[in-house]
Amino acid sequence: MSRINRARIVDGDETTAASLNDRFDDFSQANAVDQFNLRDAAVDLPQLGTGFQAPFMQSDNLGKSDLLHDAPVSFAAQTSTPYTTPHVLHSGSISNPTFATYSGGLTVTTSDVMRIYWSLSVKAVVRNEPYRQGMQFNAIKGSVSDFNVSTSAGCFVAWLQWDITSASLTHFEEVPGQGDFKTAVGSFYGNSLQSCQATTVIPLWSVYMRNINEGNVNTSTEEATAAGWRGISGTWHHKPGTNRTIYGLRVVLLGVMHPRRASAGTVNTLVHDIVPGTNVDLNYTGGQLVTFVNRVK
Amino acid sequence: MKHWTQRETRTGGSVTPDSIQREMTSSQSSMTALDRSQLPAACIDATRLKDYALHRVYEVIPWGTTGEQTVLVNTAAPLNNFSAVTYQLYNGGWTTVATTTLTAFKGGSLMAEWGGNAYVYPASTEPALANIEGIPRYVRLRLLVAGRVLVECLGPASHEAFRVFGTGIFEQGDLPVEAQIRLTDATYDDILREVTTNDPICQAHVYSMRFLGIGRWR
Repeated sequence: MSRINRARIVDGDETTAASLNDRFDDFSQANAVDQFNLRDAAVDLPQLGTGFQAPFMQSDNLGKSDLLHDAPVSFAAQTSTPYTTPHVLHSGSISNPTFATYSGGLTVTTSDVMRIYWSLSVKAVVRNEPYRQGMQFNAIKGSVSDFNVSTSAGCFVAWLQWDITSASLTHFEEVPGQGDFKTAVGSFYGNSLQSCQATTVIPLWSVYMRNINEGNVNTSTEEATAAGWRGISGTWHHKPGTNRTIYGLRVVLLGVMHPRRASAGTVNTLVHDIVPGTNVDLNYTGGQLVTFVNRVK
Repeated sequence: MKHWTQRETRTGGSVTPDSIQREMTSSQSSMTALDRSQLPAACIDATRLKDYALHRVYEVIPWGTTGEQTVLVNTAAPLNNFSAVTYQLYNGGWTTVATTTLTAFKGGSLMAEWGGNAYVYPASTEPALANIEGIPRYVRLRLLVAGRVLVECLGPASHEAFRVFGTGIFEQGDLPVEAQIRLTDATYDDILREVTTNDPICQAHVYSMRFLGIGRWR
């Protein structure tokens, strides 16, 4: 209790060292200033230090700065399965990858949530109608003959990897909740959707049929459009169970991907479909990756 | 630091009960009525605050058991489709696909964001009998907080990532949050089935869902 609650000194009282000490101890007791002493609303913004909500913020450039898209970075879809390595964003040279680094390591405590927001400018480059190759289509009844209409679900995936080992940044691995798309799904490799918590899907094309008549398509009316330059973005957040130190965080890419289930009744997945791979490239320029650390309470 | 306000005792000086009494009374009166004018600037750091005194972060990842919507799931869809929303299942209108509760929200400002990936099947964009330019297909998205719309948007039109967020002022309480989707309504010309197996075609799905909310009371 912090209220000073001792009888007044009156004339005639004997003043001793003990009585003085007792009185001063009243003032020095632990937690002396608490709710008994503070008026309503005694604490407001001026009394607060900084860093209550966001003790850490950092922005890092991704990819290549090229606002006019004159010479974007271009890479081909991976055509081996399971793939060997994902594409790591770089500034135009593989030897110059772009990612976030945290000087001395960024420690995220159990009282924090790490928030990641990233963006990138991308464009799909397609050749030879890849949207009707591999598993990229459904067979649809045609008014003259049946036709393979693209699901338009073909995509690249981008996901987050971090290095929590050392500042040497040689041990990047998938962040929690995110898989590496190397799990067998029947005869394919990919991730269950549950393991896509840090995944951003990048569309490659959109296909529709004109003059659909009671569900029947006319084979001559296919309209296919590759996804042009667009801004894509990703978000992810993580509240560690124990304090965690992060040294680097990066975005990696893989394609061409498509929805798949191993068999009826099994979980939804995204798998690597290599058949259209030789006909699909992804171009990208620049973006940013922003790291927040938020206190949760 | 507290200073003598009455008379500082010095070596060799005489002390009377009253001189101590006055000083004590002065100290006591100021100490039992501290207000912001007496507190130094930036004197309070995070370690001196009670949990959730100023704000509270709510985060859910994955949002839902797997991060997928599980309300509309047609398992009969072809294996190269998501086992998800088909027009055979979808009744139209807004459908709740994920929920959470903002426990002990103290009242004040709320920022909420919902991220994930969405897919919509665009093949039926131009049905013949619609006799109009077309009917683009979207997965419309909205967040409800305590039954009111916090944010609503047209949503993805292909297979792509989304993030919707909004801010508002909400009352004190355990606030329910609902994430809802609404597809473009079907026409009777739409492509609904695969021809070789007659399986219903997936028209939409939402997955990789995550939620983050920040309540700020003052």
